[in-house]
Amino acid sequence: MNNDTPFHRITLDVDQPLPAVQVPVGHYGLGVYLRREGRPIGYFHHYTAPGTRYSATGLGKLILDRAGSDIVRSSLRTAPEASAAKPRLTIAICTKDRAWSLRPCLDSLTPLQFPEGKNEPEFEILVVDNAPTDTSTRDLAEAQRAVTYAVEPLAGLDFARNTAVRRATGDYIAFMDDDVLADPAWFEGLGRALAKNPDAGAVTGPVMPMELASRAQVLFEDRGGFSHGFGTVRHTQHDRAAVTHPCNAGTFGAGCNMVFSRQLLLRIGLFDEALDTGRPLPGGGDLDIFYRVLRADKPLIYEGSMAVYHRHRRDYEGLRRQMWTWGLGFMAFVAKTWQTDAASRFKLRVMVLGFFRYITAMAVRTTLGRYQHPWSPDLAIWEAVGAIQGLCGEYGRSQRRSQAIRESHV
Amino acid sequence: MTAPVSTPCQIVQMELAEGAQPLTLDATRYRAVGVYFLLDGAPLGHKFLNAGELPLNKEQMWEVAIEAILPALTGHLLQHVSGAGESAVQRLAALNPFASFREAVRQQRAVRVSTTISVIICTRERPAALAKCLASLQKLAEQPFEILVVDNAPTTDATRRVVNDFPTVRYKVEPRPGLSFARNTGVRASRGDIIAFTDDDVEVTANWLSSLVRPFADPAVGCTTGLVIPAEMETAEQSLFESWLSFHRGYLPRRFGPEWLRNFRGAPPVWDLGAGANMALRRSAFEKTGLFDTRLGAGASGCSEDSELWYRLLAAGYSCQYEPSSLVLHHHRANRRQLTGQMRMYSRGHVAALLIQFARHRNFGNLLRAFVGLPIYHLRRFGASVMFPGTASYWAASAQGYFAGLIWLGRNFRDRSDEELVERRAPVRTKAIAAFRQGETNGKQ
Repeated sequence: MNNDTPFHRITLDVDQPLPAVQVPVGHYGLGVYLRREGRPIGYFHHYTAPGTRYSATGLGKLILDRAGSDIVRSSLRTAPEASAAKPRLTIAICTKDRAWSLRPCLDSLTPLQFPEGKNEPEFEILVVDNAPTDTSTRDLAEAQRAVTYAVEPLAGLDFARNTAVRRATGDYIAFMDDDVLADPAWFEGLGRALAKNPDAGAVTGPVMPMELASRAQVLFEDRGGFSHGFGTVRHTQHDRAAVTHPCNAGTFGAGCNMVFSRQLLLRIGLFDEALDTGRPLPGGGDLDIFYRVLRADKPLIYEGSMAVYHRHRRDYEGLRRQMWTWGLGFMAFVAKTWQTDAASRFKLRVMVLGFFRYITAMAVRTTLGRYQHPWSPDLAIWEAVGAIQGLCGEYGRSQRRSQAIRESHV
Repeated sequence: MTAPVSTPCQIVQMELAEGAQPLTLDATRYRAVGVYFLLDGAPLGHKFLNAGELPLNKEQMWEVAIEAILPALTGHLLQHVSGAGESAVQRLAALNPFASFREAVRQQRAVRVSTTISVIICTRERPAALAKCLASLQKLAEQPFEILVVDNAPTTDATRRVVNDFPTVRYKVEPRPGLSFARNTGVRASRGDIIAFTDDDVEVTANWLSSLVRPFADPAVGCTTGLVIPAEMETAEQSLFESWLSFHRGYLPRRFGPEWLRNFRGAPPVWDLGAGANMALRRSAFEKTGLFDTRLGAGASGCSEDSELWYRLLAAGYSCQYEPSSLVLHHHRANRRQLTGQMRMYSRGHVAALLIQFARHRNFGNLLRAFVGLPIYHLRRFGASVMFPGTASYWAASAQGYFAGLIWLGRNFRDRSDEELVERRAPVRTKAIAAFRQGETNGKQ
């Protein structure tokens, strides 16, 4: 499989008769998006031989096998009450010189912001331009119907996120990356979660792949992607879950689809600007903030119908970099929490041991060709390299770097 | 890895027929709660919650319930749409999950198995627990043909006095100590075509027996088992018991046929079939495959007399059916000394059962597990016990039980159960009794 081996994506409504599906030549599988009554209810991808033809029966079998429980769940989850008050929301998109990517993201939000027949926006959109080198983002934002534009001159995602929190006017603030598309039911899903959990400190949701156009994008999904299913889970710091809970912050959601109570963010001290700085420490900020929300004794709701679609990196080099980022960001978070929250040290130690055990097993199994996916060992090794770097003081160095950035702009 | 439940933990059952109920907890008394979700009395799933996660309102509880019952409900509904061809997905989406499940439960309960049932409870000096057990049996939706208490090597008349309070319950003494002896005596003294077993530390629910015997309508079924959940989780030891030695076998019915046994590579995990605290057997199956092996079980090597019998049943061509709608509540061992003893005995009985199974059926998987799998298992548990301070000693007891089991079996390998199985082989019987006497003195050393 070279890198131009896409998967064929189909979107199906489970209430409608299934079509027969022909996997086009040159496509190595199916990406199946399931919807019902306008809401996303399930997603899976499946390897096939190019040119495979699925009859409606065959496709149905595959769906029942892979997503049967998702369909049953959608029958059990009753429709949200129309009376549920809509939250006052600001959606913040932090971006840097990527107007080509930001445009479809904003386009996906427009129908949510101005539903049919509405002239008043349902929420505020705030684009934070992070240390821009051109005016393309500003030009795009100002051409939109109702988008607020702000500049954060200090380079670093969490500088931009913190500016967004300060500038936002809503009670809740959502963060999306410029490489995602919002699902049409996204805002309704958020309303649903907040109506049921008025005490929520944060809400996260599923992140599905926007495209499966290359090997790297499929492999990223194989590794688990950003997905945590379509159920709804109320996380608290007291959960009876894994031994490492709540340090296993990667299981709560992802940074490209997260909503917070703005007051809570201000109270717990915003995002850590030493994380998510881009090279050499491009990650960990979302883990850190999820962890701190829970430790502030606020629930974090994973809402299965509040979905976005993320464009994974297309090139294999990018995927490697992503794996390195994951290891590094994760361990930077661990190193930080080790210093700031001594009560969790035992859990952190267990988690680090578990991580290296997992990575070793994956490297060995992929080398032997015995992993369930066509993974190659280099990805596991890159993740381990990032992790070791993260444990070797990268967080401290990053703190000093972001302090220098701050001082250089005084 | 999931941590054991914090204790004391309240165990509650939540009936979902009227929707989910809000959940609160007496935080001064309990640190956690285990919620078992039922629909029309049939168990579908459970969830343990720590006190800090509560209170949950009705809607939040509903989300918890959905995720807890989804696997079982999906498994059930998928049966409805199998063979629906190209409209299977549409059909599944159109089903009302609750209505469909309740209808299935209703239809199932309408089936009557016309047979005589004997319920056998073997007990040894636990009068208070036995009284609770017998009281719960009085509340069964359908009373069995007979209830028989086998008093195993009694030292007082406390058990007899408890049984006297229940006029419908028969009483029988088995002087030789050992659960297998007691169970075999019960089988011989009983008269029903179906013989159901439960333990004195169990409380049964109203539909326990009817759900347990219903699969016998199929003549291929030789044995049925049911779901065992904790009755209480007051102490840390009870929580550890549930996480290590749980009798829980899931919320989906399972059918184990002879081909399951044949097709297994390695030792067939016959213990996955269920638990001796909740099982029923066909009398004719006993006649074909013999009674419980008296070298196994509490009072002898330690345990596994039930699973070893299931092994023989499957090897003889019978099927076993696990039926989670047959629900009982078990009082787990409550203190450190009891749990340590249990761990030792389970390990001791398990290794003995593996070797006996190998001797009977020549399946090398049993041998492999006895001499490779179990030592590795113990090493891993020792490793994992780093995360749960204070638990290593239990695994030490388990490892000690492993060696004790090898030694015990070495001294008692002669198959005494021949005496039980084939009465007409008189010489063997005499020899066997002599061997038993010998074994008894050895066992005490």
